[in-house]
Amino acid sequence: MNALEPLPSSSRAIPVCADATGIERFAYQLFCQAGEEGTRSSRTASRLAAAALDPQRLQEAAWHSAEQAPIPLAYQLWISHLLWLEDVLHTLECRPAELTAVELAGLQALARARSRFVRSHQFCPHCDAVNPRTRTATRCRRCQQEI
Amino acid sequence: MSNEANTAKLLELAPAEIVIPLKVIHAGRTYRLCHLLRPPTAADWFAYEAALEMAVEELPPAGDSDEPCFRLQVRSSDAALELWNRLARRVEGYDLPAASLRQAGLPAETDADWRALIPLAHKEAAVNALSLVAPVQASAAAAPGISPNGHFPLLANETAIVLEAVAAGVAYPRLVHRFHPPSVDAERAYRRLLAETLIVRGSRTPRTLLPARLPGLVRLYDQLIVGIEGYSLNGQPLADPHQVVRAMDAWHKRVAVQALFGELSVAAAGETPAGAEIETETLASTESTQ
Repeated sequence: MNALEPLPSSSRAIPVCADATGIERFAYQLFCQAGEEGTRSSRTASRLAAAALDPQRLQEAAWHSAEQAPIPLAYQLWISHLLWLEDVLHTLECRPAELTAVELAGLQALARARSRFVRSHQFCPHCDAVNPRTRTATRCRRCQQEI
Repeated sequence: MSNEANTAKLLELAPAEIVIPLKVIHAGRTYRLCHLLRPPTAADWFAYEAALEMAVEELPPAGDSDEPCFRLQVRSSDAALELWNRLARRVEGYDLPAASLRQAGLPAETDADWRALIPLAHKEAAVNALSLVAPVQASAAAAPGISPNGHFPLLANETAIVLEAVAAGVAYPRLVHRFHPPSVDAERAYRRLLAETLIVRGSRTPRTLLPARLPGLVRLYDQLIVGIEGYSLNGQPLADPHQVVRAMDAWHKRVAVQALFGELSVAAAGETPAGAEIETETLASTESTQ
């Protein structure tokens, strides 16, 4: 544990549960990351690391980039709660009145993120791997068979 | 066994004063000191938890690992100082000659003077001693209602959590809290409580602020508690749940509720097939370090 450092004057704290845009963005990122599990080529990363003058700096730069940056813990926690809630609502009979307004907005953001993910990705009919839906990609990233 | 012997090891919930003995080694000498505090109310604990201002900072991965590092930041000294100032009534074992007071430019025989002179480390130690309570490991707990053959109790209408605590230098190894089995609503409230956080935008690294959770945990305790063992109120064991709700220490409520829901999560994870995704309570472990 460390002493709390003072926050910069430009920074401000916002409740994550009220940030529907952020929830949708990070939920989409979460789905993409889950879809890429096992299909992401580690060769590119290792080649870059080997060629870099300072691999640690390269790793940090990748961590800070929007594409590679991990989902902030605060969003992970709230999205995890929403996924659990969604699961419970599907299995148990719950009255909509039992949800708070921010939970409802969060579930809607989650649904939008999932819909966007489904629109922008396709499943390989041979190995079930998730592949981005592009005009040029005709082969599965994992099994290399035609999609 | 006499009634007196039965109540000998009960933790009193409404003591006139809490006596905290401290052993301090300073400049090669050992001092036996004593801080006498008034019992903390729920409002005192709420203020203490809010003053902790817990935050988690996410740092870039170190070395070859892809996993980010987390740093828990807690204002433990400030919070302890605030709580001590609220609770402290008097101290024993300190030497404070009037001449020293004059030398320090402080008026003699005032209430504020001696409080300001007590070292911060002593105040922190006294506050830490107030919160010495933890769940007993399930294997060692042997809680009432647990089947002796280790089978899962069907139709159980109570779940028992066993805590151990140290108060006034005395160990209380078996403090039992019996709860109604939590409903889905209660579990949802608990999960919501853990998930509600704030994110700081504009800082160099992502920072998550953990808001005060004690009031919510206390509410859950008050909803679910059935009875307790190992405690006394004015020398008498407590039987009525309403009495328990009113008299129980808020910090004990917090630890008991976290153990209750923590045990449920562990039980659920234990049933998950190997290789399946297991949800872990990330914050439960970090909070326990405060």
